[in-house]
Amino acid sequence: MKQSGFNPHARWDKNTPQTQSSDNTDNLELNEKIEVLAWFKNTRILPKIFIWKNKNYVIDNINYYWQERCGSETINYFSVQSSLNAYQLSFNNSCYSWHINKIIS
Amino acid sequence: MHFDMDAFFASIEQAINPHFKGKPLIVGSRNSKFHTVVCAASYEAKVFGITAGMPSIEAFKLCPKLEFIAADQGKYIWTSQEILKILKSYNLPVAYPSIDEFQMDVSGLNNPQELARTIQKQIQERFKITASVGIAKNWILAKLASKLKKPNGLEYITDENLEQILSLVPAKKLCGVGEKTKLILDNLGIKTCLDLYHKSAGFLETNLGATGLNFYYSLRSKDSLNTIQEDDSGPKSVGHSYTFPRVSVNTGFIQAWIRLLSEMIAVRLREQNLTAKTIHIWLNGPEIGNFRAQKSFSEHTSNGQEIYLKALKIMAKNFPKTPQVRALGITCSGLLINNYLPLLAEDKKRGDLSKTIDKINCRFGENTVYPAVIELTQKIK
Repeated sequence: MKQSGFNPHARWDKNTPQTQSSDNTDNLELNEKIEVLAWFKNTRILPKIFIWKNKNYVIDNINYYWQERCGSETINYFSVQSSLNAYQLSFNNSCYSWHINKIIS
Repeated sequence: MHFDMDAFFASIEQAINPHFKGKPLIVGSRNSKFHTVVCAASYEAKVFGITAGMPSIEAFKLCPKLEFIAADQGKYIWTSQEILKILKSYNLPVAYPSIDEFQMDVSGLNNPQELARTIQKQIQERFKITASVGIAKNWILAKLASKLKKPNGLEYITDENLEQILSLVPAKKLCGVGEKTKLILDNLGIKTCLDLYHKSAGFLETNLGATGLNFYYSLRSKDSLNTIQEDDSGPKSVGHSYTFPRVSVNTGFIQAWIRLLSEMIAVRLREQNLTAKTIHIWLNGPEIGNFRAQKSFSEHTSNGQEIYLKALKIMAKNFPKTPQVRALGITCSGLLINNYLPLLAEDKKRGDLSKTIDKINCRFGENTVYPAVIELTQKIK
């Protein structure tokens, strides 16, 4: 019953077919560049306001944060709450660029 | 001490999107929500009888208002590794048996409950998700204990309350008891974990073979962690599997998936400087059930194309015509450290190509360069 440890590299989802035939349309994929006013505190990044399509969105709360590696680049993901909607934003550590990835709800 | 995250993937999705809080939610694969398997169900979904491993279509029948999220392993893996960092910060031996389970050796600590509560609080504050904890004299009992007071629970099995707790827990809850073992246990009149605990090693071996003996020793062992220790000689096998959204007979599509899985294995073999001698293929389908076959080859390899061609050879030997396939898996075993110096120019070229592709993918991200045939996996047929 002994087992070897969990291997975080044994992931499968990056290679599975994308949502082209998905019937889950709740999340709208955007991946557009945006401008962000953020606070870099110690080792943390805290986005405060983002500007998307010439409109300012004040971030009320960061619901979740996680990181992913893409080759040698590290992408920081944020699920943020602005008024009634949640948005997924990302910050690329290598080129210092911000993107809005999708409207979560 | 065993940490079992509560509805891990579903809880993370509920933390990411507060709209899902308090709602029945399932996490499935990236495919169509009606043609996948439930990877995780929120506690609100579990109320309807929805469990991990269930086809999603059945889950929607049980709860038509179910929310569906496609799995995104990146965030689950990151969260899991951050939790591991928290546990490691206590400087006690830690094991990492799966993405949502952690074990900590707390032998000799006077008040392990206090430590458990502190870590539970840390996890909840940082990630807005909960973990249930079990403490006992060995990992199998600790794992069992972690399941008894979910969610966000803490159970401590001591020598004093051991028999009382085991008498209340059905034997099927014990790690390693599947449907087949449960049937045998039922026939033997073993209903609770205590019934199992009281049986002799000889009795369990006679009726359950090596599994029975394993139960006997595991329940009495003093092993705090359920993993092969770091001084072990390395992995015994490397494998990947995938379940299609629906049954396929499309030879090109099936072969493309075999190629993709072979490439994924080859990358992991090369990362660890290993080569494999034995290729194992597993196919699942309505006509063939669970088909397994393996073959050991004279030459070791860590090349994706070679693994793929060898897997096709094994398949062709058993199936002259492509069978209906719902799921497939490739595993490489007979692993050796790669100290082979290529003699033939062709071998050297192939090795150099793999190294170059690995370098590009390491620099620019996974799947920047891949065999063109893998494109076919993106076409669901």
